[in-house]
Amino acid sequence: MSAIAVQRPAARRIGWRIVVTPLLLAAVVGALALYLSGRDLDSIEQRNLSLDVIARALWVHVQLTAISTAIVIAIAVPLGILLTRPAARRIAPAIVGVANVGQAVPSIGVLALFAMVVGLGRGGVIFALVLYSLLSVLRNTMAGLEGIDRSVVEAARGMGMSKLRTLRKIELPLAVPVMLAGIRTALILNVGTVTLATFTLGAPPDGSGGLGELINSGLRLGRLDTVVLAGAVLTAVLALLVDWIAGLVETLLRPHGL
Amino acid sequence: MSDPAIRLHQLEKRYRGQREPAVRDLSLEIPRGEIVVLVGPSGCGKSTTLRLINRLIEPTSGRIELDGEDVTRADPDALRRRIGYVIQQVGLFPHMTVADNVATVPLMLGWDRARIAARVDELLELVGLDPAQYRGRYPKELSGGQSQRVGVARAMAADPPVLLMDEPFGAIDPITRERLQDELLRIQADVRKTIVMVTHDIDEAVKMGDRIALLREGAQIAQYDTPERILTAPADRFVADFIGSGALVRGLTLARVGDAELTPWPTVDAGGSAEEARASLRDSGRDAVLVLDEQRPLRWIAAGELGNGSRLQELGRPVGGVLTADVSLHDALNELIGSATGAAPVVDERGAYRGVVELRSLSAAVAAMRDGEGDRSPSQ
Repeated sequence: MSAIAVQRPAARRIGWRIVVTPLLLAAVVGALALYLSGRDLDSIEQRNLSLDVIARALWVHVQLTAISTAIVIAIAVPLGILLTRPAARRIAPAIVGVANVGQAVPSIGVLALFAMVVGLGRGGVIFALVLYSLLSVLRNTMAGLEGIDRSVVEAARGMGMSKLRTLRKIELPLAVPVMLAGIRTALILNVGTVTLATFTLGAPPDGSGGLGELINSGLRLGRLDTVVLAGAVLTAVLALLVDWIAGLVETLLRPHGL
Repeated sequence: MSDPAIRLHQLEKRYRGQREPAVRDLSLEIPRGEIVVLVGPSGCGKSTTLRLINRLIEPTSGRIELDGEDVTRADPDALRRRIGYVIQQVGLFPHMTVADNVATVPLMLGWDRARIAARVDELLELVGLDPAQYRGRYPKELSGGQSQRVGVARAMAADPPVLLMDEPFGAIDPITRERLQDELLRIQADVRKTIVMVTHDIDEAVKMGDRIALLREGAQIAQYDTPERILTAPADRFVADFIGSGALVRGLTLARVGDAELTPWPTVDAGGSAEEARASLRDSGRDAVLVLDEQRPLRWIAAGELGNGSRLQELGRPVGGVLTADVSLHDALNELIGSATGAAPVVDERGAYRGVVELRSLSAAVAAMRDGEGDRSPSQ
């Protein structure tokens, strides 16, 4: 049926402004590279800023962010759907309250806590990240579903759509924009928080602690205007890039007609 | 009523924590092919009753029959696909086009694409929206009136024998509302659905209903009758108060000049003389004569104005309006009040004089409605 619909090409909905952010970020990275190559790096700096180390740090950082966000989506979206069903109305505030605690505690505290309880290593880091960013996705999933005009749901049910079909065809598509906004927030939170992972992952200076490792070891070694700077700038660029991609996905997945 | 489309039997709905049931012991039969309007003050349980019929609200006890089949415990989703449902807020799916909205139920029933597309166009046509222009639009691109047209089309998509409408025109401006009401009546004349409509507006109930169920608190039926009978013979004080003042005058909107008995009136041809006019008046007991020009009502001349010698065409005053058979008695009353003689001439479709309507004719029409002999009284 939707073939009948007038489809606006996705490209036109996004426009030329789409290229501004990546160009700007590329310029920043280029400037950083230029600056560092112009400096006379000592052996410590050279070891910490080798292409090998930076690439691994970036890769670990992206991995940790992606895995933790995927787990958050897998938990928070179904949970949000369940908690907005009439049967769960009573217990919903309690569960949202628990998720609230996860975000209220400072992230380094959560990480440290889980480093003690679950132990050092990736598992602990991911566990803490999930706990920390769960709330934004959960809350937005619930808000997105609860924000749907009740008359739309009533019309659907009144025409004989089953509860499941109403959820699938009506409620979820209409909640998508708000849910995606929550996922975007979780992503950004996680990109930032992963910089703290280096404290629990331990840090052989090879990049396996993520971009936070650059900042951490740069601080310990007193290489502020080279190693720390590179770590900080790359983290910021990564965060903005992830935000840009998420924004793109939001635009593309937003249902027509809204 | 031997074979009603819907039969509610001792239906009851109690909500937990409320002492009084929202609907108490309601039994109601909805005849096939008619519009039954549930009307009553807010909180009387009329919307609850409507939702009990398609079981959006499950009854606490009692029985619901659709076409003689007990559906009280049938699968509610399957049941609702057999019943069209229109609500005040329309509830179009904002992320779907007009065509996809209308196609909702046919899609669930597994119709093939070609059949659905043809049906969508047919329905948009029926509700007065050009398919080529509207089928690809999204709900936010429609006005309130257009949205409700799509709402009605969507409810009728799979051609359900029964339509439930919960204040369908309640949120629409008065002019558009009137147009939509007229169009629904026009469509209904073709499709003859069984329609149960809820409204709090007695005028809408009178206009739309073949029958009106006037409900008081707890969905208790105060009167279940034709609009004519409700207006001319309210069952009790509650009904009379709910209808409000001027009920009989409003009842006149329900009958047409063609239904009323016409009275003869003294006439004279425009080419005739004053003497002929006087002769015509003499035994009639009237005090004015109607001048006809080739059968068309031309002027009123009072007895005292009939001097000697003057031509009839120059005496008296011109006839204001003339009535035809399809004019409502309400409009006829308006003419009568404006007429100096207390009578309004009635003409046939060719404009030829047939007789007059007087105040007495209107009283007789009201009496006929009260006795249940009105145009739309139940046929049994």
